[in-house]
Amino acid sequence: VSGPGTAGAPGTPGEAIRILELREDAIGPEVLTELVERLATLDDGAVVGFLGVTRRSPGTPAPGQESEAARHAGRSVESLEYEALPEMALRVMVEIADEISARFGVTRLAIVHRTGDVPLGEASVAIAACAPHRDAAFEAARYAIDETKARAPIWKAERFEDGHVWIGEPAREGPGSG
Amino acid sequence: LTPTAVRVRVRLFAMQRELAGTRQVELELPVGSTIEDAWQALVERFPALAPGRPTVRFARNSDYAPAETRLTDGDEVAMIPPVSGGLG
Repeated sequence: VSGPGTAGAPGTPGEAIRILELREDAIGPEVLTELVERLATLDDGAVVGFLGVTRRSPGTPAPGQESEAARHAGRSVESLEYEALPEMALRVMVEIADEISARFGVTRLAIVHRTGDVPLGEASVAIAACAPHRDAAFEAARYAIDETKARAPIWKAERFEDGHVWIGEPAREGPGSG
Repeated sequence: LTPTAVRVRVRLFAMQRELAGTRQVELELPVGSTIEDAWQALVERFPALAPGRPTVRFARNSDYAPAETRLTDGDEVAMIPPVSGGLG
């Protein structure tokens, strides 16, 4: 989904704009420019952007993946593979955007997540938050990435030369203390 | 005629999809069955999934739902293994 969301918190200046998407195509760094062009208004004194990028050092294997991870110990990750349950992932992203509006009064927000194979150095997720003041914009962006990773049904495998390892931890079903 | 069974579609992802060797399973369960019952039926068919019980979460029709949720005919149950989460 994409486009205008629900109205902002009372007293929030400006219009509500949401960009919540899963994309199969590559997300280059220029995505931040694209998102800011679509989100930022003249009410916004702060624009915070975040890219989550594929790195070569392995992460923490998901429970049950420890022995597979040990098999690749000391090797470099070659790429990441993301799998999603799209309709539910987008629903979770809408909930997170609602929470950001309620908690921080930030109503111009983008969460764009890639699916499929993401080569090293490429972005797997892009976040942008626009607000009149920087505190709220930083908090909103931080909440958006943390909650998306903890709650959205999106799975990540690290691909090695001769196999792959699923990464992560049990999904959190609702908002954190954020 | 009172229906005696509910039919649900179970979707599998990531490591569970690989362990089961399939993305989707159709189950027929007795009326009154819960998500936990669907999980048990799934594990009977794919015993390799059993150790994942402590870390799996469930969704019914695209919303997280507790294991004791009763299933209705036509429901879609997604088994949610650990997600990308954490420190990333």
